[in-house]
Amino acid sequence: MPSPPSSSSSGRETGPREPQTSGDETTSSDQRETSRPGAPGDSASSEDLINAGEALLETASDLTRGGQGADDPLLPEPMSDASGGEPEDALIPESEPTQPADEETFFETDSASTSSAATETETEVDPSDSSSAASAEASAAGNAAAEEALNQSGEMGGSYEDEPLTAGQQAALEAAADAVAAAGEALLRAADEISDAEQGSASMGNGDPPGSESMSEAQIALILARAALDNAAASNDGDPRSGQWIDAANASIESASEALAGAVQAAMMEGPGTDYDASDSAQTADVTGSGHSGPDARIAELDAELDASIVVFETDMQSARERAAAALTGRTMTAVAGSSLDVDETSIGQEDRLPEGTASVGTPGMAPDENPDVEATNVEDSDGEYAETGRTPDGKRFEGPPPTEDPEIPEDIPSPQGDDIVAKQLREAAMAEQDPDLKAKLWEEYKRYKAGL
Amino acid sequence: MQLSWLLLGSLTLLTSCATTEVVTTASQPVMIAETPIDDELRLDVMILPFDPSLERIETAEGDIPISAEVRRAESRYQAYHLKETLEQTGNWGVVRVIPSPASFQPLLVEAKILDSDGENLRISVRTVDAAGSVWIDKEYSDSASKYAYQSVREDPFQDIYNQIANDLLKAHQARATSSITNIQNVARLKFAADLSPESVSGYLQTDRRGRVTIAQLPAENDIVMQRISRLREQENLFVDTMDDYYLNFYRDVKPSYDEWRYATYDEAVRLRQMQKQARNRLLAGAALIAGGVYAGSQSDTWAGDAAAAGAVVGGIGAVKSGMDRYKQAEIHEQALAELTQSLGMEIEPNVLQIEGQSIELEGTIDSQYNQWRRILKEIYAADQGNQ
Repeated sequence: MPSPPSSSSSGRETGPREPQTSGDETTSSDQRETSRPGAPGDSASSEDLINAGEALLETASDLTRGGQGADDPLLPEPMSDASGGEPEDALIPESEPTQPADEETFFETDSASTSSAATETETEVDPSDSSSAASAEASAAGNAAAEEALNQSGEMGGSYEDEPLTAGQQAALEAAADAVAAAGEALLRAADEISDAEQGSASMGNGDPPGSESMSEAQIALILARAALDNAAASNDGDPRSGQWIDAANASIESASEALAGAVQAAMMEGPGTDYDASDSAQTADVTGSGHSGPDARIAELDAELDASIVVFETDMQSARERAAAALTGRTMTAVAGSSLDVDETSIGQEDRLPEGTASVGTPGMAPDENPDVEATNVEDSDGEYAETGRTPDGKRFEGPPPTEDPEIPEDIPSPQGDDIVAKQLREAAMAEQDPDLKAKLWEEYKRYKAGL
Repeated sequence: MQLSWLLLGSLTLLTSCATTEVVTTASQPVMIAETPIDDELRLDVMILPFDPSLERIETAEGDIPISAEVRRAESRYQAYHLKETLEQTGNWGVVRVIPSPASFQPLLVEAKILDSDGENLRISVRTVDAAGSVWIDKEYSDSASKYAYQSVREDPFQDIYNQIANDLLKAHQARATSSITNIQNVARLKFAADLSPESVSGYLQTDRRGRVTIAQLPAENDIVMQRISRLREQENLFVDTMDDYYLNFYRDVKPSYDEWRYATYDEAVRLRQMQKQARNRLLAGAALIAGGVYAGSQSDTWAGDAAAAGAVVGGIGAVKSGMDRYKQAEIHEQALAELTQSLGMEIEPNVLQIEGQSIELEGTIDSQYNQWRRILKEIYAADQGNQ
């Protein structure tokens, strides 16, 4: 398990992320202008974070546009004649060069905005000049990786069928775009905080390195973005178009992670505004008890490590649960499509004795007195303690209508952790419901029930 | 005279070949506490996959063929079915099936499949709480009714599951509130001890009988215990995730498993019937032969000799009939073996999948626990340094 960067943290934030409402570049530009500190004295750390954050926002907008079915942002515009007919095959050489896409220009000119983990270079961070050299190398390598992806996509321009993405793929891409955008925003916030601290305007009363909390949040956001991209890749099902977008996004994530790691290391070594030197370590190691910052700082580091490991673990478990839910959804669709599912409460004849997918345990989630099938026979025990409420509730397990092709769960839906049988049934019904209105009502009911637990 | 009694007894044996077949349909209802149990007193119940008793496959006396794949599937299927039965009662907190035992669970249910086919189910169940007290330790058995397979309203052996649920409820009601609370506290401390033994050293005591009591409770602001409370949520998340996989397995296997039970029910009934008839006829035939030979040796009249010869002939006939019954029983046994083998091949992928998923998730949480143990140990050391 990789060791996360040491930084203090107030805990894992799992609130809903702000959705990326617009995929156009105007928003990104506005953010760039409003978030970039104008002071020329900004350190390399904050500048790297700004560049990385902006790159992530760009990538998120690309993902969003790609998920909405816009033209492939990574591909050059198709070669077309003046009459505006169908684009000719990209493999057939043309006399006139094609008009390069804006995205190509973006990748070629904005060399400082991306870095790549494809190189996987283990750069030794020099405490004296840590972030800038590493990020510059990473940016160059990342740019090369992105261009390579672009070239490959150009070569593959006409090699796949022009089929629209499925709703599930679109939803996964949009979710990944949201996660990447959130990570970009977190990086920009961290950069702002570092910049403000360096300019002396940030409060460092708690003794933590400047921007440590926001960097920790950014780290978590990157982890979540990576997980969302993995999910999108899984639902990608080998589609080369969305695979390219995801690869580019992953490259941006990796470069952002490297920039963040460099910034964290620089912040930890610089300390709360003072230069790092041996005297500081001596103070923290004071055994007379006059200085308690050593153990507290160590506990803070361990807490950060614990928080990060919990996030990773929760992400793994959530992915596993989503895989299980997806398998269940697929199985339900197959059962409904392939057999005559009898959800009637009446008993069935021998010809159709065991309908597929029917569980004969009973109707879960309903108390016997609510279940009309239960015989309400009260028999007093010898000591009158127990109330025999009849036979086990019979009937079929709830089998909702065929699930929709869009399994997206709204962001405000709480985690399924700790769900009892009723909550689980509500959640499954909401996920399987096709009617949007009824689906919304089921989610509302689920949230209301969870709030009452 | 002796011969006539012998003949009469043999005829009685031959005619007493009737087998019993369950025809009742009413199962023992599951009980729900008349006064709803408070949330604080609802214990979480963890159920292990039932022990499939694979060693009994080797020593089976050729009664009902047993398949290792089917048993391994049954071990999880039946555990999950028990989980659903308990869950529906509303008497308990979180009820889950977990892949491996953990001493820090408030209530842990372990069971072993002794016999299982379409006609009979026999399991032994043992339930122990976190404090080491045994709640249930008994055997349950049930025979399915032929009507159970004609009208699918509940599991053919729902009776067993209801009995277990009822016994658990009775055991719960028999314990004082303080005892239930103690179980929950012991469970929490045991979980803490599993992750950070140094931080809860001396808080728990175990007597010679294995009963665990609390010597003292940790402080509310204990720095390590606060972290451990968060990690308990992760343990719950792992358990919930495993439960999802077991649910998928249950639903995957159920249609085939139900069909197998239905198909093997008739075969099992007939097989046992044939075997019993065969045994009886062999015994009767042997008795007749022995009696006839003895009577013949003692007889000094023609009638006596004739009767003795008749007894021997009748005995030979009975023996032959018994052998025929055994051959018919073998046919049913082969049919059962084929059905069982077919089901085993069909559900083996599901069994391998759930086993793989369990190993994968358990590996994930084991490695995670190791990391958490290290972190908590360092936190504890740092906190001790602070103090």
